[in-house]
Amino acid sequence: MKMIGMGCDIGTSATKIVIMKDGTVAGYGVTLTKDKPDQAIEKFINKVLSNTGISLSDIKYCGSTGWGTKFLSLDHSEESLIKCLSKGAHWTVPTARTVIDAGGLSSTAISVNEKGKPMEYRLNDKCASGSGRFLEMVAEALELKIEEIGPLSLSAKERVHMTSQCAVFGESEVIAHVNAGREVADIVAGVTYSVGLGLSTLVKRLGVQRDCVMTGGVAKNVAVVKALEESIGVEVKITYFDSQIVGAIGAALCAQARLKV
Amino acid sequence: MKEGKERELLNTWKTTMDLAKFVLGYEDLTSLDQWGGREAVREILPDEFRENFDMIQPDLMDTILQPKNRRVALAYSDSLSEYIEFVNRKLDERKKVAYYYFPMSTEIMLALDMLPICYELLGGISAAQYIHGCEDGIDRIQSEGYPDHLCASQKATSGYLLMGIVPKPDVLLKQAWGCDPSNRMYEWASVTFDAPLITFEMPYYYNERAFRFLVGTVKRMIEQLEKISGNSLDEEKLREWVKIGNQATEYLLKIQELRKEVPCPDPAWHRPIDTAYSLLIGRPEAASYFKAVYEDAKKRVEKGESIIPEGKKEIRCAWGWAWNAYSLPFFNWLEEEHGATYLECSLTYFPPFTGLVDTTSLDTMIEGLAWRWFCWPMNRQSMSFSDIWVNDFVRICKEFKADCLMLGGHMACKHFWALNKLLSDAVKEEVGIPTLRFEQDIYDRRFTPVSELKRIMNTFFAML
Repeated sequence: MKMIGMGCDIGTSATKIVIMKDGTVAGYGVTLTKDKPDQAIEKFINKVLSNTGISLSDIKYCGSTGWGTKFLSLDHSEESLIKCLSKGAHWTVPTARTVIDAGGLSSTAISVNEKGKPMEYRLNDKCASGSGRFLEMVAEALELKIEEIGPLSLSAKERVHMTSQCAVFGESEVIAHVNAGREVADIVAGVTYSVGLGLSTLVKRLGVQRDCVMTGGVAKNVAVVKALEESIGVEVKITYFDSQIVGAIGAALCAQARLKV
Repeated sequence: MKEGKERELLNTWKTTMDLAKFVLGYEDLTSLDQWGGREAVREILPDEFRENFDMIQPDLMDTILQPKNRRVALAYSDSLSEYIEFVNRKLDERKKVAYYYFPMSTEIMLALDMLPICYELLGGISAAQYIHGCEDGIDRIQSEGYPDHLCASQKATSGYLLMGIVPKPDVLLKQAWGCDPSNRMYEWASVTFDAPLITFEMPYYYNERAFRFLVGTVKRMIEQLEKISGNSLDEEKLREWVKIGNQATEYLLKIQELRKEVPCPDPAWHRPIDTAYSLLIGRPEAASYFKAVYEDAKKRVEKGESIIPEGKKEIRCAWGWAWNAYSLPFFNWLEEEHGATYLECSLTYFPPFTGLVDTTSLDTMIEGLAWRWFCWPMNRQSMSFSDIWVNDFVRICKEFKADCLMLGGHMACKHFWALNKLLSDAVKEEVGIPTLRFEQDIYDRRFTPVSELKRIMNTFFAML
């Protein structure tokens, strides 16, 4: 009998759905978390399922994590985000010992053991300085697409120095640099560097252990990853799946483990 | 609290203890809600208790009324009442008041016919009982310029002294080790209240030579106390108090052994109270409190009873720093909500080799007391290198079969924050259990409110 399950990670910025079939990812989707999330999530799940040819009635287990779990009306087990990120990262990179997740509004560093069990974590859930939302605010202020920021940063000639780690003050500082006539590439390089540096302080408080794996939307920003690598002095691996779906994979794995108990 | 009466605080506590005993007398009253709510319980109270009842944390009342907590709650109330009566008697007799730092016991002061009051106890008990804890004392000393970001261990008592609601010190005793806020606060109290400060050096090393050094400093402390009290240390009198201290210590060490049982038979909210009574070792009240806790836990082990709700899996927690006193119900919540029991912390753990004091001669007693202080929680960990603290907790986690190590500490406790990653790494590596690091004050709930503590715990236990 085929084991088909689902993992959901409903974050403040993005909703991620993963369909797991016989221990592999059969399909997934990432969308913005919208108004009336309860209806939007269900519609989105159906859309992801339709791409895989699997129907909702085939789903034998469902795990959900993240801020918006409360909006999911399907039968599901509620899973700890830290556990999901650990399990998901370990599943995609079995040598992972440090997981760095940077999402829409929060960032997390987790130290995991050889089995993918979280041993300690540090959260930054009250400050947007290392989060995706900060990068989005900067992109909007500079009239760039979010995905342009990373590559543009790498083309910078002289990175500006960002004095503020705060997202609110940071945005003002970006505008000041624009008014001072600084190149956009130099400005975004300064921003991505400060985000990477902010994440590195979170990781260093835990202790850097190889392998380091980065997950979440911010992991798609090559310049942030590079800055993080420079600061912690080790390579940061990005999962071969979309880095945003690692939490959802973990949610599915956690729910599947409950079936086995 | 009204200003200007030196017995105001202790008499307020006494009313609280009498009120607790009155309420615990109603066997069918097991929670405020079950009785019809706070107002309905208020109705059954004699008039003299009502004002005090309004000051008490409602969830504390609910905690002590739970069947599993009633026996020790009663023992706590009886013992504290008796201690307050003792204090009042000694104040009537105009005995010299000796304020002492917490990692020591009372026998020598009692043998010199002095009134021993632990500086840290006054804030702790108030924090544990009242809705506003000891905030009046904390705010008062902070209004004098004492920094609000430092640990509150001494703040409340200093404020109470300024408010005049606790007895003034005739002498202060302080072990000198690397806790700067407490060192400064004792100096402040000494200068402000014109009371001599006797500091005795804790050695930096943990070996025979260091122990001999400590015995010497204790002997010098006794000489100074003899001058201040006007009494000579009498061997027979000291023996009497040391024997009482041994009774308490024996029970305390036996309770520690019982907490190694799975499931843990000793409720988590006892840990802050255990610390409070360990500060009174030497007094009969400490012996009777620890006897009650021991018998309560032993009975549970014999009957195979658990302190966590049926069906919950026990999560055995060691705490690498300390409890908080401002919400005893928080620890009850940990058990009820998460099945999380509290094994040991750096304010409760006496190593098994602490032993009892040999009462053969004056010298053996002084050495025995010095040895106990050498082993005393936090004295032992803080006076020296990090290895003692780290090794103690690796051993605790193994011997007590801990599932996790909680490292909640005050950011101003530089010693702890300097070593907490070493500790966390050692436990993860050698015991293979997860750790949680977070910030808290032990007396001031405004530093990390209970709701925030619960949020931190919910996240952590969900991860486990």
